Amino acid sequence: MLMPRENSLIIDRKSWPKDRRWVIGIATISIVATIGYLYEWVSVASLPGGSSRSGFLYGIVAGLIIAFELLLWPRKHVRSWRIGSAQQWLRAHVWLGLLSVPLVLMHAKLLFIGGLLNWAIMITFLIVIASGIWGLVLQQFLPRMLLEQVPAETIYDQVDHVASQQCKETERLVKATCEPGIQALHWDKEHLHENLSEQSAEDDNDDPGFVVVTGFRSMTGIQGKVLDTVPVYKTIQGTQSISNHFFSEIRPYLKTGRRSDSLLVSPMETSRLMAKLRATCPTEASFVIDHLEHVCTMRRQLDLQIRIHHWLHGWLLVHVPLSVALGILLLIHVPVALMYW
Amino acid sequence: MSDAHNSKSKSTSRTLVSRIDRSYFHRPNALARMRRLLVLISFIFGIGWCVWGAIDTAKHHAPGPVAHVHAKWENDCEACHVPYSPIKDNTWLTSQKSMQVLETKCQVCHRVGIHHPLQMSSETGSCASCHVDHRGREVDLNRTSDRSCTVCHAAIATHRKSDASIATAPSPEISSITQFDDEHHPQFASLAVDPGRLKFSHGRHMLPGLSFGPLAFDGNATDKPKDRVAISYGMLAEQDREKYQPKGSHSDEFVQLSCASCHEFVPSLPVGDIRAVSGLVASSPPGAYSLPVEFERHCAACHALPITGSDKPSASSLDTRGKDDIPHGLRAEAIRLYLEQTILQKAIQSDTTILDLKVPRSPLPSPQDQTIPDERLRTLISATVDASRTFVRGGCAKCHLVEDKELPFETSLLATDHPQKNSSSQSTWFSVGPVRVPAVWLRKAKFNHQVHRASDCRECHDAAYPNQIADIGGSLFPVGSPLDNQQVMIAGRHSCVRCHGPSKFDSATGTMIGGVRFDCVECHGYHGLGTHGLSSEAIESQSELFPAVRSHPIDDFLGSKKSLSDGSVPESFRSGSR
Repeated sequence: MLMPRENSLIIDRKSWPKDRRWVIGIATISIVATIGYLYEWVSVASLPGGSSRSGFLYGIVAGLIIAFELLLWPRKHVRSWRIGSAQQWLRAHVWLGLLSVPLVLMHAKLLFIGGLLNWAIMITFLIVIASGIWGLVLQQFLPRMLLEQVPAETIYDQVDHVASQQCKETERLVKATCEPGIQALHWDKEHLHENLSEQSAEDDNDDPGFVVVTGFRSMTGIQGKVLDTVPVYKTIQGTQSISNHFFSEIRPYLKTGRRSDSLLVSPMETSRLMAKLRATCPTEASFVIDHLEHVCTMRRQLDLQIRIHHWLHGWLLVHVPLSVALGILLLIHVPVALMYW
Repeated sequence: MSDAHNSKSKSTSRTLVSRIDRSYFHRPNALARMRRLLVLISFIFGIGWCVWGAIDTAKHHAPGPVAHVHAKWENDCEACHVPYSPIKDNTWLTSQKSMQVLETKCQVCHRVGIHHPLQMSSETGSCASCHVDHRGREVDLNRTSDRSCTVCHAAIATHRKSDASIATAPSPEISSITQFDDEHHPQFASLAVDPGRLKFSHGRHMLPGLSFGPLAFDGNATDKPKDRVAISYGMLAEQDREKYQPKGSHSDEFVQLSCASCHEFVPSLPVGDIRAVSGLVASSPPGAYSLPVEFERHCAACHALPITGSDKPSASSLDTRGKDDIPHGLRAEAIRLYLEQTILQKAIQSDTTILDLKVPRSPLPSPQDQTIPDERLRTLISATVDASRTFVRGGCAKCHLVEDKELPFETSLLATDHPQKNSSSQSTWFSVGPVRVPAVWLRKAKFNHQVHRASDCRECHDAAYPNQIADIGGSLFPVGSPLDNQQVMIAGRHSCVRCHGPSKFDSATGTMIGGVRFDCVECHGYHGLGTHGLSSEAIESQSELFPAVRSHPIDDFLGSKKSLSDGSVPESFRSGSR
C-alpha cells in the first residue's frame, strides 16, 4: 500500500511553497550563526567550544530542537493531539533537524572535542542525522516507484495472507480444470492431513460450479485488484503437465515468493515455462496458463513491494532507536556540562 | 481468519470482504517488532552508559586528560572547578566574582604577578582562557597561541590604560608586534646599551698570549711593548696551569683562552662547586645562563694585585704566591685598613726596635683609648701607605672606574690622639664602582645556553672574537681588539631569526634554514621570567626584598667575603694569602 502522504515528506514542486519558507529560514539562521561563531573565533583567538558565548547559545538551541524532534514519536502515537497537522510536524522535524547540524557542530568545537560522553553523543547525533537524511532521500522516489511498478500493491502486513489466498485459489482452479499429475498426487499424499481439513470445509458447502480468483484491472489511469469468477465445467484432458508444474514449481513460489529460490523469480523464466505449457497443453487450458502467469507476476510484485517497503522503513531501525539513545545521553550531558564548564 | 479460506464456497459480500485480514494492525509486523526491540536496547545502552560514566567520571565527562602537572587531580574536578561556575572568561555566565573564585583556586599553587602595570583589567582573561587544560598529559599549558599575545600587541596603543598620568605612548618599535621576524618584531631592547662599567677587551683575551700585539706562532712576541707580557702556560702558577693548559701542550706555548675559560655553566661544574648567583639565574634551568665571572676564579691567574711596584710579577712568572697582594673587591675603608696594616706589619718585621714603641691596642682606636702612637712609627708608614695607595689605585683603574672618596682620618690606623685634628682632617682615598654587568642580558625574554650548546658561540657572539687581521710575514693573524666593553657582545634578533623562523630555502647557501619554533612563548613569559610569581618588572621593583636579584655590585663577586664591607679584616687576609 502506498505510504500515506502524512507519513512521508516529499519535497517537490508542489510542496515547494511550504518548504521554501523553511529553507530560507534555516539558511538564514545558519549563516548568521556561522558569522557569529567566526567572529568569536577571531576575537578570542581560539576555537570557541561549548562553553563559549556562541557555542553555549547554539548548544541550547540545538538541544531544544532535538527535544522537539523527539516529540514526533509521541505525537504519532497520540494522534488525538491537536497541535498542528502531522504534515506540519514532519516538515518541522525534517528542517529543524537539518538546522541542528551546523548548530551542534559549532557547539562541539567543530568536532575538536574529547571525552567519551561527548563523542558518544556526537557519533549518535551524526548517525541519527545521516539516517534521517537517507530516509528523506528514499521518500522522494520510492513511493513513486511503488506506485508505478507494484500495481498489485497490498497492505504490507497482508502480503503473506494475500499470497497464500492467491495460492489456494489457483490451486483450486488447477485441481478443478487440470488432470492430476504425478506431482499432484505426491503433493496430496504429503499434505493429506492439511487436505482433509480443507476438504471437510468444502464438503459442508455446495459446489457452485465456478472458482473465484483474484484478478487485476487497469483502465483509464485507474488500476486495482478485482475478483474474477471462473466457471468450471469439466477437467481438461492433457493438462497433467500444468498440474505437475503447478505443484512442483509454481505453488511453492506463490506461497513464499523469493524465499522459495524458484526460477520463477525471473520474468523470463516464467515466460519460458508458460510458453512450454502452452505448447504441450490443449488450447482449452490456455486460460489456466494465463492465470498462472498472471499470479506469478502478482507474486513478483508483492516481493518487490516487500523490498521497497524495507528500504522505505528500514532506516527507522537506526533512526528511532539511536534518537532515543541520543535523548538519554543528552539528559546526562546537559547537567554535567553545566556543572564543570 | 478461517472464514477467509471460504471464498470459494460462499461468494457473498461478507466472504468477499473477509478475504482481507481486518485485524492486521493489531499485530506489529517484523519491522515494527525489531524497531521496538532496538529502541529497548538503545534505552538500556543509554542508561548503561550513564552508569558507566558515573563510575569513571573523568574519562567520560572531561574533554581529555589533564596535563601531567595536574594529574594528581584528574578525578577531583572541584580542585580546579567551581560547580556551575564557568572556568573560562568568554562565557555568558562569567562574572568578576566567579573569575575571582576560580583564580583563587589556581593561585593556591600558582602565585603570579600582573603582566604589565598598564594592562587593562577588562581585557585580562582568566587563567583557563590561556592555559587550556584537558588536552592530554603531554600538553604544555604554557604553550599559548601567538594570537593570545598579538590580540593586544598587534596594536598595543589601544590596549593600554588611557590614564594620561601613568600611560605613555608606546614607541613605534613596539606599537605593533605580530610575529618574530626582522619585520614584525623590534630589536631586543635589553641589548641597546651595555650598562657594564668594566674596562675589558674580549678580543685581546681571546688572542694567544693575551697580548695586544701580533704574535708569531713560533712562541715569541714581535714588536712587543716592554710592559706587555705575552703569557705562556709556563708563566702561570701550578694550580692555574692545570686549569688552563690543554693536555699535550707545552709550557712554553702561549695561553689560549676560550669562552668557557671565563663563562662557566652549571652543568660543567664539578660536584660541590657552589656559586652565588642572582635569583633569576637560580630559578632558571641549569645551564640556561652563564655563571658570573669572578676575579678569583677567572682573572687572578694573570692579574695580580700587588700593593707596591716591587711586588709586581716578573716577566717570567705570574705566580704571586707569598707576596702581599691586596684582596679583590674591598671597599675604600677596607683598602686603607689593609694597606696600613700590611705596611705596619712590614715595618715591624724590618725594624724590630719599633716593637719597643707604643702601638695602638686595636686597629680602630676608640675615644676611650688613651694609647699614644709614636710619631716616628706614623711617619715611617704614612709615606709608604700613600705610595701604595697610588699604586693600588692604578691597578684598580686598569679594569674599573675609580672615583675619589674622602675617608675620615679618625678611622685610620694612623689617627692621632687629638680628636680635633682627627675630625678636621680627611684623607683622600678612592672607591671602585660597581661593574654593573647584568647577570642576565635579555630582561624581557628567556634564553637557554644549554639547549643551544651544539651551536658555535661565534654564531651569536661574533663581536667577542678578535676582529682585526694583521699581515705578519705573509700570513694573516688576528689582532686583539681594543677595549670593547662599550659594545654588546650579543648579536640579537638577526642571529635568532636564522633558525627561529619558518622553514625556507636559503638560496645563498642552497640549504633549508629555519624551522625552529618562533612563537611568542618560546622566549617570552606572560607572567615574567623569574621565580614563579614575579614578572621581570616585579623582580626589578622588588629588588629591595630580594637582594640577590640585583645586578652585581662588586662585592657580589666576593661571595662569602662580603663581611669585609664592615671594615673588619678576616684572619685569612692577615696572613697575606690570596
